[in-house]
Amino acid sequence: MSKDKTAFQDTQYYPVIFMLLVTIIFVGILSLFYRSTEKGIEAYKKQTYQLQVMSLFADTLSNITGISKSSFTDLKEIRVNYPKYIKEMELPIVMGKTINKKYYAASTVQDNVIGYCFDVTGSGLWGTMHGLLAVTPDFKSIINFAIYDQMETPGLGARVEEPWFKSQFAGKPMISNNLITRFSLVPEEAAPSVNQVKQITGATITSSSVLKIITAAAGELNQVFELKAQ
Amino acid sequence: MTKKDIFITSAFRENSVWRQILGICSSLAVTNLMMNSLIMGLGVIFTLIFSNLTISAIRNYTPRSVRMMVQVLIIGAYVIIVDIFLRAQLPDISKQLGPYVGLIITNCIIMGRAEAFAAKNAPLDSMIDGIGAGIGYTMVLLTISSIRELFGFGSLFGFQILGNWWLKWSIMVMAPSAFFLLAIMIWIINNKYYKVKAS
Repeated sequence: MSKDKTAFQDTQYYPVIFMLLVTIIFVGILSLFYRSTEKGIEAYKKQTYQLQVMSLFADTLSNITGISKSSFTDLKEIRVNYPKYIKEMELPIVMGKTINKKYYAASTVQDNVIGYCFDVTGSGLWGTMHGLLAVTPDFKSIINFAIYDQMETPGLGARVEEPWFKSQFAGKPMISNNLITRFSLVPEEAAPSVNQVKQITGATITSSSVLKIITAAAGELNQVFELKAQ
Repeated sequence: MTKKDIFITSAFRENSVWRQILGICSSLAVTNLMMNSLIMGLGVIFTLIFSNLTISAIRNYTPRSVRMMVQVLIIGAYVIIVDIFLRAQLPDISKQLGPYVGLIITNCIIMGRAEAFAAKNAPLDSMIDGIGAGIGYTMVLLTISSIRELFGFGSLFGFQILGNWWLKWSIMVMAPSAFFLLAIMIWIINNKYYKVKAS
């Protein structure tokens, strides 16, 4: 503190007013800075989401089109490839209520639909998990699955985002003989059968939550598929 | 003290990490890759420079009773600026650093320099002290991360140095290696520098 303090600086109101002023100034600076970068952050979020959707179909699209897989998993090429291959659509209203707000249809240039992708959510151990489920056009098997947003324990449940965990859903049946597949968990070291999924060691709740999310989504989609078939 | 002395003291003689054992948490957490360490170091240098400068500039007007609240608010504001900047300009690195950028607020080095230096000295001196402390911290981070990245991934700053013949040491990628390396580093510096000086 300076030695030549004014009388006002000795009053009990001074610290309050000073704190208030400093707060207003810094919050103001922060708001201005945030506003100026907000658009860039939002654009990046949107692009990474589109990349997630697209990479679920990367293998299939690469096989059909003959273009290298990296073109569908590279953030730089998203702007060109996403509008070309992915269409955002609304689900039909089933029994008076919309089942899912949005879904994505992946198709090649010849309008040949190769699969649908649904945004799925469910609760994990610490909070809501958001994922994307890509299925074949007949809704019978899973093309790919990924969790793109979660708040699970780092090093344990957060491993749901690791490639080995996500990739094991590829090609698994979702609906067979009009029945939804009930997946079960096996230890990480074990070799899983068709209806089994390797769980993350030390994160049983997160692993089973993922299964619950997929089963719930399969139930909803089965309903749509049955109605479509009628 | 001359400006050069201020810098050398805060960066080397009284280095926050190896002399004062401050900022250890982030020294252990973000040192698996050199790029992460460099960005973290730059974030801390930026925050230290501007928080020291601001705290020093308003030191004669800051009431003692709310001194620490003001310091935390100023440090917090600059850290949020760093966080927003990384999210907008370097989103991949921002994702890798995760919560550690926000945790710069609780990095003891920044509060330590604010209280020990900026609250008592002129703005320019405080700024130099901030640069020194930040460079000292970044130096430690880069030293540890260079060893961890080289042995753990066979690369430096992402460039492959060791070929495919190199068997990667997974312990170097995990947190315990940072404990060992930091301890060894502090031990060597204490023996080679401070003990020699004392005798």
